[in-house]
Amino acid sequence: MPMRWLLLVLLAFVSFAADVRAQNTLPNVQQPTGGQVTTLTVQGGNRSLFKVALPKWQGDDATGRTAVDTASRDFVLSSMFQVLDPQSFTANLQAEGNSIDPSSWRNVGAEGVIKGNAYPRAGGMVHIEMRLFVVSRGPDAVLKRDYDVAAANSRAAVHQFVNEVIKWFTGTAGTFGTRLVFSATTGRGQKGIFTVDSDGSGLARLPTTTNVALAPAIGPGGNVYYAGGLADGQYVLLKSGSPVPAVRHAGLVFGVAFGGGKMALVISQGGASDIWIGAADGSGLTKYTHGHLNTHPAFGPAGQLAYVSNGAGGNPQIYVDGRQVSSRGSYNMAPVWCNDPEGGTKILFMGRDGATWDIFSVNPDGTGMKRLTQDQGSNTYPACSPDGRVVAFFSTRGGGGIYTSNPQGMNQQKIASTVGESLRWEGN
Amino acid sequence: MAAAKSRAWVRPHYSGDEIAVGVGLAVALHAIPALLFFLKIVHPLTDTADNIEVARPVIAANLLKLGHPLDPKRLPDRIVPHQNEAPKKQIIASQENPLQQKPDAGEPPPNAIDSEHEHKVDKQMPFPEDGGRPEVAIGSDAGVEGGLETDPNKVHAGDMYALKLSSWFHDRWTVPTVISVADERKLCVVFQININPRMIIWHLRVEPIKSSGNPLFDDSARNMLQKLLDGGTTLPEPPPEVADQWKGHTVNLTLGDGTSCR
Repeated sequence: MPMRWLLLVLLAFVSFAADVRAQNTLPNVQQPTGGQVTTLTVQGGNRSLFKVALPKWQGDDATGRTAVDTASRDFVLSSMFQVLDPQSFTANLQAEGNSIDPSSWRNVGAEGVIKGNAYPRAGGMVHIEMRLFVVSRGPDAVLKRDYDVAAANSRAAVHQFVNEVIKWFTGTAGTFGTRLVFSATTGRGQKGIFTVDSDGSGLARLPTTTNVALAPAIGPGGNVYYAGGLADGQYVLLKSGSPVPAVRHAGLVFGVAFGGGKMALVISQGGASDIWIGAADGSGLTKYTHGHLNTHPAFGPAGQLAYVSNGAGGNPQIYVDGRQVSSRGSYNMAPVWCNDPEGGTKILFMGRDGATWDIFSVNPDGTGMKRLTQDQGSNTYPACSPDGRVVAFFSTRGGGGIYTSNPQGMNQQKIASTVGESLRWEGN
Repeated sequence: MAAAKSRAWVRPHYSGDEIAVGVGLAVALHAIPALLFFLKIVHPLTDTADNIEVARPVIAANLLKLGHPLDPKRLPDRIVPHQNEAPKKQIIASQENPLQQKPDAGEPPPNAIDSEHEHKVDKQMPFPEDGGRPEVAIGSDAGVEGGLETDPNKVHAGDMYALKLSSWFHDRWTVPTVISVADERKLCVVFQININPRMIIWHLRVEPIKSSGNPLFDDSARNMLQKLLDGGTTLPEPPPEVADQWKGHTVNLTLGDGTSCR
């Protein structure tokens, strides 16, 4: 009898415990098989910039600060990353060393972490180590690079690492560290040729043999060519650093473009401006257009030629291989090709809208014309980075300067405080 | 005699001259328009005078559009998305709880006339017009995708709740811009979660049931689910009709373009 009571009490206890467990914690999990699994489809998510943290570097403090500033700027200009405020970081960098504690970075919203070390070496050199961590991938670096460079070139090493980070994420390397070239007024009736890095640093004037240097372009060997006015009134094609004209042609040379192993020259003769095409060294030039106003040539990725023409005396519009691709607006000029990774190949150009100019894009077949700038000063002379991710242009807003955006016109950032004409991006 | 006098006074008597004048006037009155017609034929009027009276086509009717007229030559405006200002999608599912007991309204007024419907049709029938006819089962006995539920109330509530829950996850999921839009459209990952009876995710299977092939894409979905798991976030409460499909159940979440996961 006592045994029966004992069993009853035990059974009641077990039953009670099972009931409490079922109510408070874990339900019975239905296995995926047997038709007990509920399915739900979530169509896409919201898109947000990849949040990256760049904590203070170890080692040489000055190099570290320059590197963090340089990388931060590149990431912002790329329009793909959001650089987090270092003041929010809670990770113990000393304890982490060359790895990360993912939870520390996840807590501050970081999805990626860039760490670096810089150690001086003999002969003015510096050894730079940079690592990319993806918080969701664990504590170890997913990308690591070492650079031994002159201390003055540490920024170039950082640009290169940022390009590799972009490649790790997207499969296509970035193009930071390349340069832009343009002409700007240097005095009354005088123009010079200038170059600036893609992040707006390193503004420098290039040596020219004339005080009237126009329409620069980067040609074979990375040499900068420009149209220059000589003392005898002739305008010829000159190469920066060389006093000898690269191309002298009957008429006045007012512009040049390179691409696909070819050169396109703008030559004015008898009141008409035409485009001539020849080899990259300027040999074998033949007339491509005939009469009226034809200018601003730009070679496309497959050798197509975009240029400005007023047709039979109408408004200047953009043409590609003889076919008009812009029809809206009264004055469109300065076309440039842009291989936008998101939207495909586009032609960027400047169009006059009332008293100001703005930047537009259009498909090479003339469809899909879009405006990139509006109501923010006068925006002129677009240039596109070789990877097609960044567009640069001059703008009079904010005191004037060079601005960048993505090919859709988003993320407009001022990178330099100089205004000029004929902006071209090295490699495009 | 008087009547004869009166008739003689009334009857007109015209002299030959008077008759000649009357005939002349009648002929002249008829001759004038004929003469004018003849003159018009012989000497037609000038065009300017004629055109004044000629009916012109009515002014062509233009269809008017509200707002600014579209000028194909005008430069386009810049389109800037205002994501933060965009209204959130709001989906209201199961506004009425069919199982909820409504308060008794009390006795009807003394002169109220009962609805004939009330007497003829069971109030619990989803469609009173069916008049109590047996329901026709939807789907086949072998089973179809989406289940064999035939109660329209449950089907409707279930669909609305699935949409609401899908939107709820969508709002919390962010895909990093390092994945291009074109690439994202091709990606899809399936994660498995377990939901407890209080609609809280209590377990997340770390490895996806089906990977998208892009670790970052998988990570973005996993991060979202991990945050919900760590935070003990309560999922939207399902309507009672379909609560048994979600509470305490295993759920396979297909995140991304569902067609690429098939």
